[in-house]
Amino acid sequence: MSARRSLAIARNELRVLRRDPMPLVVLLVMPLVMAPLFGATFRAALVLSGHPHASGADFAIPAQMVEFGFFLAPFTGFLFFRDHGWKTWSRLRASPATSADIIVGKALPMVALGMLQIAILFAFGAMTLHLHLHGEALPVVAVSFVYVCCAVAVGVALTAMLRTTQQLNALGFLGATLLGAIGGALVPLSTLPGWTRRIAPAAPQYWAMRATRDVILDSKPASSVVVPIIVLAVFTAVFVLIALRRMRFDEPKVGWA
Amino acid sequence: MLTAVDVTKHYGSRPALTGVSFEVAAGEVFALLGPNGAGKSTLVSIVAALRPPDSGRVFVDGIDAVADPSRVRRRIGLASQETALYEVLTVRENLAFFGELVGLGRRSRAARIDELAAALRLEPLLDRAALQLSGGERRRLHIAIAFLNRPLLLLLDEATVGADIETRAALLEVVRRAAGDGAAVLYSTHYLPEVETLDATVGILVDGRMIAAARVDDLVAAHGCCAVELSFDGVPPAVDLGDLRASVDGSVIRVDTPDPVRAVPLIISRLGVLAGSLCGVEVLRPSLDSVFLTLTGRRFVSESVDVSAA
Repeated sequence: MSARRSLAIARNELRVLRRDPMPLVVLLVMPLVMAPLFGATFRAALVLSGHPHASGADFAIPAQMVEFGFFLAPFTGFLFFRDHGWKTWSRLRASPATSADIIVGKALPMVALGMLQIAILFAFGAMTLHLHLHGEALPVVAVSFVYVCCAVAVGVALTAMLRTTQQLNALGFLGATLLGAIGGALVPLSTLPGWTRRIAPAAPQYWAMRATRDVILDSKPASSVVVPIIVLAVFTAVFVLIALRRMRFDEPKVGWA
Repeated sequence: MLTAVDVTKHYGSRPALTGVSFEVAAGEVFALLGPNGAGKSTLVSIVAALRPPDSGRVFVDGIDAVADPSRVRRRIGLASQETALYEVLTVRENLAFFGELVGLGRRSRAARIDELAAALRLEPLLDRAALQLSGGERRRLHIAIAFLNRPLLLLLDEATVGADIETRAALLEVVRRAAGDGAAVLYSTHYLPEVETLDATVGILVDGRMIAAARVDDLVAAHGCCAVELSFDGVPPAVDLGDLRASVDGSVIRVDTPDPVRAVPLIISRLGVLAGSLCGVEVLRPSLDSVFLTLTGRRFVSESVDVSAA
């Protein structure tokens, strides 16, 4: 594997993103629009759940981070399918770049974009929506990073398993929304039916929500995020494994041109 | 530079290539000639180490393409049949990205881009997005990318399909120059005149089998024939052509003769009133076309030049 080639591919992805910035709008702007809308609703739920001094943003910001953060999965997949649509996939493969160079080169900018999304969202929350970070910031950054890596790994795994952009589009966004709901990112888990709470740990979103809630709302120590980080890392490893096992670089895929 | 030994490939139960063997030396242009579905693109993709053969070996510069695809890819430049470009990026950005991938440093990359832009008349287009280019301009950029790393082996898979005459001429000139500089060129094409222009060695691929491989002159000397083809609108009429050897292929009567010019008046006179139903008369001289006819029993159908397609 070559870091130089991976970085060249990553820079190229950023160049394409700059020319066609719609993913940036969805990932960076939409959470900023949604967070204030949900803030008031979540404020009532937080008071009921024993956080009388919490602002709605204390839940809305992590919730939007978790919900929109997982949209990185379909957007990561689009980077691969777009190369099929533009026929550049074979050209990339015929270059000296190895399979690992290509995957890392496409994953890197999405991880960076995910972290940027979270940084902007938290800064926006703190400056305009009265977000209070009661605990330490570093554990939130650590959880965010592993969560973003997990979402990107899901994107690569979906790419490996699916054949068309249409499939990725449907499964990626619907799956992210559904898992977000199950994981407690759309509404607080305490307001959902019991069976939902029982299956919630099967969603990466649950662990990200749990960790950020512990730190932001409950002022728990940094050690409280260790288990969620480990679980998210295991999720990531599983999706990477699926991607490695299922990815066939010579498999034709149907991409939007 | 390129050696393929007994290469076989199936898609499911359908054979795409069967026992294909050939060699291309440094500085040689090897034209892969065959109709659609003959297996040309499959063969090119195997040589480019994009897919493995079911059996057989491919060596590029002595390196096994299956065992060590990464080293092989450092030595090749590939232009596939379909233009492969980052549509929203400019011509310069497309060239720069692939130049970076093949390991060109900043300065040598800039110099190489200027060089190729001049050779393929892309200079005024360097800051234009790929999606704003015409078909011919896209084709020139597509080909230019394959030349970035001065490859030891150029793989051009129907690279001029859909190109206008001007683009075609520029591309052929660049290919000739690359071969002159010592690159081996595997040039898959539908166009017989290109093969003759490139003074190439020819491999004729039909139904996945390499049925002949030699210099054009040698092939023509060995298999070229003369014939007269009479085209009718529909099933040809039954005609007694005397001693002339004739065969029917669809709506065409083909008459094999060593002296077609003398044969034509004779054939027309034998047709009598039926000559009125003739749609066309064509004289075939010893050429690649007639070689293909001799070897396969059918004419080679080149695609027409479409200046609008890309």
